[in-house]
Amino acid sequence: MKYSSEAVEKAIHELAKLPGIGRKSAQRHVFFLLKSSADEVTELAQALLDLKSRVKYCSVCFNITEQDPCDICSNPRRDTGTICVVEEANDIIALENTGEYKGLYHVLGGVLSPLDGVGPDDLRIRELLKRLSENVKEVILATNPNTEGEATAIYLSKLIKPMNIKLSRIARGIPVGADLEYADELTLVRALAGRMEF
Amino acid sequence: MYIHKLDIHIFRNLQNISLDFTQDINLIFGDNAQGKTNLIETIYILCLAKSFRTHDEAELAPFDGDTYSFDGVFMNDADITNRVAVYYTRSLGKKIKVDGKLVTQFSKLVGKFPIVILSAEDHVITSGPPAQRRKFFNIMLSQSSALYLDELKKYERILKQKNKFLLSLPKDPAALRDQLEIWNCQLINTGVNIMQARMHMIEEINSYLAASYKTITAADFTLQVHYQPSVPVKTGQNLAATFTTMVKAAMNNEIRRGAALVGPHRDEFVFTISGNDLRKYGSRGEHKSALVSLKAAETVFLKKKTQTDPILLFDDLFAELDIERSARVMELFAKAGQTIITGTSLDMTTIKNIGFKDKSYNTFLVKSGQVSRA
Repeated sequence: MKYSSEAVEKAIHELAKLPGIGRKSAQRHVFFLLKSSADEVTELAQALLDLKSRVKYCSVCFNITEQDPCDICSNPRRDTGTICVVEEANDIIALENTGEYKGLYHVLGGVLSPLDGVGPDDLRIRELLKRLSENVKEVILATNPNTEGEATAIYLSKLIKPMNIKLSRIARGIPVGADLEYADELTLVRALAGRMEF
Repeated sequence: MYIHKLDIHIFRNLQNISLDFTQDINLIFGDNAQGKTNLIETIYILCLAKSFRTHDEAELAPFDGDTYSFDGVFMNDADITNRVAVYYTRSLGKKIKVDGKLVTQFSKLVGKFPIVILSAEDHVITSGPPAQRRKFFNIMLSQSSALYLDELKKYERILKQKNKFLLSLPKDPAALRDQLEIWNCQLINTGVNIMQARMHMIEEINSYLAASYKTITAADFTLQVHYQPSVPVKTGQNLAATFTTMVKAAMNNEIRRGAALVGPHRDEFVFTISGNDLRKYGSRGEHKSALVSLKAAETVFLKKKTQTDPILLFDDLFAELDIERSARVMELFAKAGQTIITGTSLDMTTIKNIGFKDKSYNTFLVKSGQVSRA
């Protein structure tokens, strides 16, 4: 469809590039913004600009942050002897929301996947190994339990094991609050295979 | 388990068709190229989320491949119904709903409504390349166990990653070995589970096969299937250990060929009739009898595993069989669940002459995309 305004057309085009937003939704958002006050639109535009100008990667763990090192790395009450390795920065948010984990993180920035052309040199593995040489006692591998996440965990474990550091992999199984009778067969079988001594 | 109602809104040459099936035998007859197989194809897709004839979704949609849609109501042994709806549009692709809820992973559907099909294309199972036999046993095992299907999907993903890796190797030999090892490690873990599942299945299915073949040929020949895994293990040997040794030994070869050479993706299944290799020595008739026996064995296997009678689809099966053999096929499947049979009017006369004992039957006539009760 052709719009009478080039600005509208441009805004729709840019919004439609976002994940989960098609041209139809983009069009709705643009017309919503057109009706909003100038202040509101400026605030949104400023927020987007700030994203790029203020947010950077933590030079230690590669979490997203505004100050370097990030809040977690510079917090003196965190246990610096434990590092939890995750795929992406948003995995940290999920783990932090638990409030249970007191150690530090390391963001790999992806997983090994020849199909996507990602090898060990494309991940922040060298940076991780450098950190491990400094007084780290435990590493928790928290990559996803799929083929690529598992491959990455195996690769890391081969590198870390000779370093005499305690190594663990996050467990998988029945979601908390779910009754056994409602868990699907597959989840149950996997949970049984990964059972722990009690 | 049986399909109770089928509504085809639009699919290939079929439009606005609404059918009620009986729990026993449903005869669908008509001349060639009227739409009989298309009708059966919709039932197959409702059960397994994909066609047995094509991978190209657009091919199933008439009018320039824009859309197709159909739905069916299944009834289980406790009289509980499930409505499965399949619809496709070019822009959104294929969507499946069960009782109004969108199915996010099609694999979750597999095994809920077990099905056995015998179609004209199936002769490749006994006579074609090994990939055809793996495909057949994979579909059967996947319907019997969600875990098998999950392992298979995982295995295929790992295999893809490994093959891609073999095509773009790092230059440093140490890095190469380390990285190849992580894919091998997973390939072996998953591969062992797949091969073990196949071994157990073969042990179980051979007794069904032998019995079926004897019934259908009315002769004292024994049909068996022998599993020849890519990793041969003698009793007492550890499968994972042997697998690991073989993968290590194959490394240079795999690098040179750029493909994974060891694992269940290279398994073979060999059919024999009283010890003779069917593929090498079998006549056309022996192949046909072996295939029907295999499907009968599959029916028994699925019933044992899923605790329900699978739906049987016989597409044009009786065209190549004489009256005597047709009667034995009917005899072989006499205790099976819902059966849907297509054929020409001549085939239907033959089948009706054989009779169904105490089973009820419905007859439908298919003519240029229209279906009527006959």
